[in-house]
Amino acid sequence: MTAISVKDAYLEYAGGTVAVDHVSYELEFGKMYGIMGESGAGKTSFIHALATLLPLSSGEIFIENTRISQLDPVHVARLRRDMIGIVLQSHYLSPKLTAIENVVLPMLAGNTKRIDRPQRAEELLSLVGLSERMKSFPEEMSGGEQQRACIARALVNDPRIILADEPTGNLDNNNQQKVFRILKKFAEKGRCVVIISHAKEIANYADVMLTMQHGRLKEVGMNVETGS
Amino acid sequence: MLKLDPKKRILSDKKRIRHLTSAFFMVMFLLEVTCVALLITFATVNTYYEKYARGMRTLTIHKQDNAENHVFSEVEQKDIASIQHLTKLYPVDQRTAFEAAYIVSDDKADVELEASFIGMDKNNLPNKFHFKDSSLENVISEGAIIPDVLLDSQGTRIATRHLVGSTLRVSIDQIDFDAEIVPGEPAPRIGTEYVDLTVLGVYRTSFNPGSINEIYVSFENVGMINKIMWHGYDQGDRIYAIDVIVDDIANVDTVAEKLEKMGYQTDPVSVVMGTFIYVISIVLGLLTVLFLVIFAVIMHSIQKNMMARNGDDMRLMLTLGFAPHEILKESLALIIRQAISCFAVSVLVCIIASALLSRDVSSDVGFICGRMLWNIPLGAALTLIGELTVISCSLRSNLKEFFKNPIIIEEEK
Repeated sequence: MTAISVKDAYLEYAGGTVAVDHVSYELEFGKMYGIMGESGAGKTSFIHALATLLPLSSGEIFIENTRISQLDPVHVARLRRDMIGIVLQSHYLSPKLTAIENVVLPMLAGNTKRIDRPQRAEELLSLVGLSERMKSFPEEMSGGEQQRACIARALVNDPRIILADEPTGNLDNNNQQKVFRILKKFAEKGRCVVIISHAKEIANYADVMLTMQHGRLKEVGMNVETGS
Repeated sequence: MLKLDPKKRILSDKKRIRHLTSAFFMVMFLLEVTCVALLITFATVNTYYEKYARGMRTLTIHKQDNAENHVFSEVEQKDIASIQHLTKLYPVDQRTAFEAAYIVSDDKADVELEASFIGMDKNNLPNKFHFKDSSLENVISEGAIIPDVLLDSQGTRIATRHLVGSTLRVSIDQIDFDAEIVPGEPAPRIGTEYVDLTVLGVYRTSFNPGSINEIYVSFENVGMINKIMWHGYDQGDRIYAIDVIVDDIANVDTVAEKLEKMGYQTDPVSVVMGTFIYVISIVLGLLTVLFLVIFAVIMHSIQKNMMARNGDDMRLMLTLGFAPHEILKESLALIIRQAISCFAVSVLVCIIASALLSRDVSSDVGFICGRMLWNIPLGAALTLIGELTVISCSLRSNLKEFFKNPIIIEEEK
């Protein structure tokens, strides 16, 4: 079943840089996708466009058959809240909040009952190995710990699509494998997981490996580019 | 169980910044409320003078030559009465009389008043009246109409609606004008006469600033009271000066010109302070706009700084699925709470001041200010609407670009 359908997506910045160059692709539920590519290839822009954080210059993105370009900002926010969990490359934890508060935050936008929020946040922080760090502020945590807290936060609303931009960038090999395993489990439970990573180990977990070069997307061993 | 409410903390600023913003908001609010409340007060007074204050529309007429000894004939009076825009013509001694009066009612002891009796007829009623068993046509001719709040000689306020039907006994001192007047001593009297009038109705004093114990009676009754007081010295049926009431303040000059062309000298009974009030109103209006502009400029800058400080957190919230209005709700909560507090404080101040002033009923200022005081919460409400509109517009313009691109991708730009 198609989770995200990308049709001739083109994204050009004001300065003329083309970040996504006429990409068409379909991402399915129950699969984990790994995207690799050099810095500046357009991976982050592409994943932000999938996350409805960046509007395309042309083309369309459908999230479960919903055309994103037709939605107003409030409905885009609702869709993001209900459907998508995001792990950003820069950690983007609020420095004013503790780890558990950062994880609780998306639930305030969602429908989780107030009484269930702390328990849900604790479960996910334990899952990513941060049960001892729940009350720590980001500045008291290492880069790896912050990254894991971001993963917990992305999963907290039980999204059907998980988009992760370099989720293991600051992690040692053990923790890296652990994060991939967690995300793989979510894919096996029927979620669509898209991970940008420079770590070659991603290939051991991803169902489909993609590369991005000059804004164009290719399946490894097979060119899926359909644009000009 | 953990109590977590990160939304409250994530966009909150440091105490010092919150206090500075609060102080600024308070100062601007006070300045605005002062201007708006004064503006409303002047506008009310102006409306009163233009629409209701009969003295501004009344001209006293003498003959230009031989003003002291000229006696108005019936023909002359008819000629004058035929001038357009006149609602009444009467001898000057029917304008007002100042006497002591007593309210005589069944259920309480006599209440003594220092009253002024104003000549009135149905065409010149200035305010809303409350009647009891009486029609508009006979209400003046048969008795008296009193204010809905009177001050007795001790300065106590008396609500008077229940006094309709009571007797108003006018006590008229006949002064001996031949006797020697000793400074500090009451003027020697020949005697005291009484005239009983029935209280036929009350009128609202709310929009009648400056009027204390003004009792409306017929022009004839005013003339009668004056004649009794001037016993032995009245001028009989001879009329040396007359008053005319003009229908609208805008027509006063036209009527005066016509009278002057007919050879009469006209003097306004009261001088309109219109120019003064207009100038003050314009100054206050300009100040109000100026304060609002200053408020808008500084508020815009405060919001911009707030977004610079909290921009990352706001972007984060947007990324996590908060709708723009949900994010703003939190950041606006402080200002809205403050605005409501300011309004509540102004109402409270007004209630307390009103209560204090109403105790000082012997003072005319207290009596009048008590009414005008309610312009403060009205001004506060208008100020709040203005300031919240400014805040909302400023916020909209500041956030327009902000929400277009929630995440800045520096790596690839």
